[in-house]
Amino acid sequence: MPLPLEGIRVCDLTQFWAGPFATQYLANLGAEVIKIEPAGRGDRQRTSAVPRPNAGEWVAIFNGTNVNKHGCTLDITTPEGKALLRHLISISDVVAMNMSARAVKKLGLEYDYVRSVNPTVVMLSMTGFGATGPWQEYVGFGPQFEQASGITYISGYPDLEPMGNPAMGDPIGGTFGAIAIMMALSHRRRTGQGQFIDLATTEGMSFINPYALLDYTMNGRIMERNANKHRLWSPHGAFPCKGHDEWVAIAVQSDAQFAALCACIGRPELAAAPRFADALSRWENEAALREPIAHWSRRHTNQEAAALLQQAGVPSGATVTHATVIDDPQLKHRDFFWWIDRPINEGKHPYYGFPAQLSKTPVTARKIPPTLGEDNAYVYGDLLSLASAKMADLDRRGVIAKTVP
Amino acid sequence: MPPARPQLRPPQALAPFRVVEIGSRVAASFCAKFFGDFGAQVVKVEPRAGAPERRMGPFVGDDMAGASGLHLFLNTNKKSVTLEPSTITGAAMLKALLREADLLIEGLPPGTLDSWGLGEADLSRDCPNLVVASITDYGQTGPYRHRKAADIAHWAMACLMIGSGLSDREPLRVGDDVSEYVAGLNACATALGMLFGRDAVGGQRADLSVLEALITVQPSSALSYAYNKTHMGRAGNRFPMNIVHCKDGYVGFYPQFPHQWEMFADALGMPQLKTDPRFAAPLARMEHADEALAIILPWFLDRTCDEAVRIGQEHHVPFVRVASAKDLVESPQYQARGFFTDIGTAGSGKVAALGRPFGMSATPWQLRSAAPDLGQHNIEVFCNRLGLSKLELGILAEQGVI
Repeated sequence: MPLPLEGIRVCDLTQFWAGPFATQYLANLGAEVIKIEPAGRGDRQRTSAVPRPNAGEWVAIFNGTNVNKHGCTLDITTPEGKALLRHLISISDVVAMNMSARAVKKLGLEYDYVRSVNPTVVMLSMTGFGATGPWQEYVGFGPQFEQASGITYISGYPDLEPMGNPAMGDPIGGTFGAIAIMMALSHRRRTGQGQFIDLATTEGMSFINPYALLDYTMNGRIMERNANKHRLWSPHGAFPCKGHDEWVAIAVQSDAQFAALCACIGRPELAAAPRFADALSRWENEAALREPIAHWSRRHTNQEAAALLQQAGVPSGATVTHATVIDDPQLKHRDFFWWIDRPINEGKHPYYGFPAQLSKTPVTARKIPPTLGEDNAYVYGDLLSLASAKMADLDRRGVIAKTVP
Repeated sequence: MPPARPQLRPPQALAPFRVVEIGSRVAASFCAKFFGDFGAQVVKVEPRAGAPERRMGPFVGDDMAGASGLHLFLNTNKKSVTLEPSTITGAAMLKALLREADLLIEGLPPGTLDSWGLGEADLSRDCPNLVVASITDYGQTGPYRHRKAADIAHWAMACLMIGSGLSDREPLRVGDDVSEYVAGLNACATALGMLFGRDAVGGQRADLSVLEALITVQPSSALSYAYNKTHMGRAGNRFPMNIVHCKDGYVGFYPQFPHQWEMFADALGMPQLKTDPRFAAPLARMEHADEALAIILPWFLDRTCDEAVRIGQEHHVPFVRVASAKDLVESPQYQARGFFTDIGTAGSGKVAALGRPFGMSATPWQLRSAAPDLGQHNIEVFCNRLGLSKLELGILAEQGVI
């Protein structure tokens, strides 16, 4: 059965992580994504590798975010390279970029240009702060989008500076990008009309943090960081377990769950104690619950603790590491990881798969992530119909070269 | 020739779609919000007690008599009906709604639809073109499918928690219910894909796992571990990705790539950072983080956040203010882009919240209607669409069906 986006072609000029995440979403759902990397250098993300031979092919973020895409190299700063890009744009349905506004202007790739080449194209502009406004040229990476969004401010220990998650701004921004593109494609199929999408990753991140923003606009209250303390539930936090740096996360959402927790840790009398008897008392006296729970949890591995709590009906989960997550029985049952054998990386390795199982058109790894310029012959020969002598000449002169001549 | 009829509103990208949302949890409501906000007709099917976000707050003055802010935000551009599909009549009415719908977004526990006679086999027989997006914590199948979850448990199980915070302290979750919103986004993207491909394959169902969606918001870390066999540990704001004190708040910076370190040194007016061998290579900079910070921190302490950010950004280095909710409302960028919009009323005042998630030039975000009162559209949907009479509606209400 054809995948949902089969027949859609994406001219993908994105680099780093956020943009490639958006286009990988489309590729996973069946679009043909042509990833264009700067000739002689590649996607900048390739430079973040731990030093080793062929280091640029061992960048986990790069490989993990470019499954199911075709990869080619092109120097779009030369007139010949720009002409090839123009040709690619003209045969594409979507053009995606996540360059800064400054870079877009320098390369002459504004929407007006792209539209003049392909009037019905859907163009995604993905920037940190948006294509308009006083900060339109501001640059940032995933951490900055999160810091500027309001999420980092409410995260961290109260006695230290705010502490966020180093990177989720990029993939979350990327998912917004995939959503916007598919909405635009849906409109285009009905009406023939293309359009310009102005996506600011920081705005997307603010969008997934509505409570703190609403509490300010409705009550003038500024939510502050408070480690794992929840605004409604208690106890709520991570408790130490037997193994090295093993923890079990617990979130008690009701009196019944609290009674179950107390029974589970062998302290049923706590459930009846006046200072813990209802949600409000527990919330106020949460600190006093920490040691009784930890006293119990330290006697168990975190997996044991989570299993016992789950049997008792308490929402909980064990911390896993990047080494152990591949053994999680639930993820294994669902074949969440894609074990991809990419020859240059010598053997099978675990890639994050797709978070939903589709009943008729399962999302799978159809194509391994491209090595630098791996699909030049397909893109320039098959798609753009260049003769092989012409391709060799462009390669020799660096226009489509994988390495600097 | 008669004058062209003025177009009052621009077109909307999802206008033709009819969507039913049931089993509201934040993820499902958030997913359906995108459909409503971009033009689809969304019917939110709520239990008689109302969807949970109606009780989640925040409330003006903390008074629960007013409307909940999360409800106002999550349920823009939707219609609300009350219905209990655990009754035979309720299940039949839900099925009648689904027969004329394009998409069902459901956040019910695994097996609930089956217990109502609306399982996958029933739906593919009776509603062959219906696309279904099912959101559960761990998926419809597998050993954990009935486990109890919470955002913080997902953070633990997704490997995100063990890396957040400091190694000598309790690991942290970040943000506020991030897993629900991430799952909602993924359900939305997957549903849009399935609708786009429906002509070729008909309806189908996506079984989405909140845990799996959350796992994907980190940098391929399992793959990175497989390549390098190194654990990053919990190192807080690891230099050069830092959050530092300025005069009036915190600024984050990240000169991540080699070319940016030189720009960073220029921004701070400290050319010695470029030549000092301790800071020459990325790994060396991390090893000598404390020494680098000792040189750098006074520069930030001497400046306000706005000054530091302006100077950094003039040099094209990623510098931003770590923004509070107040900073965002006052942000010149958000103000210039009209990011905050009145989306509804609570108590005596209008509620400003985030309006459009992104700009679309031809089919922009529109607020057609504020979040509905509970059961506000029972008559419109059940009488006008399903053909019930008001008398019948009265009986169903008395019987606890609606």
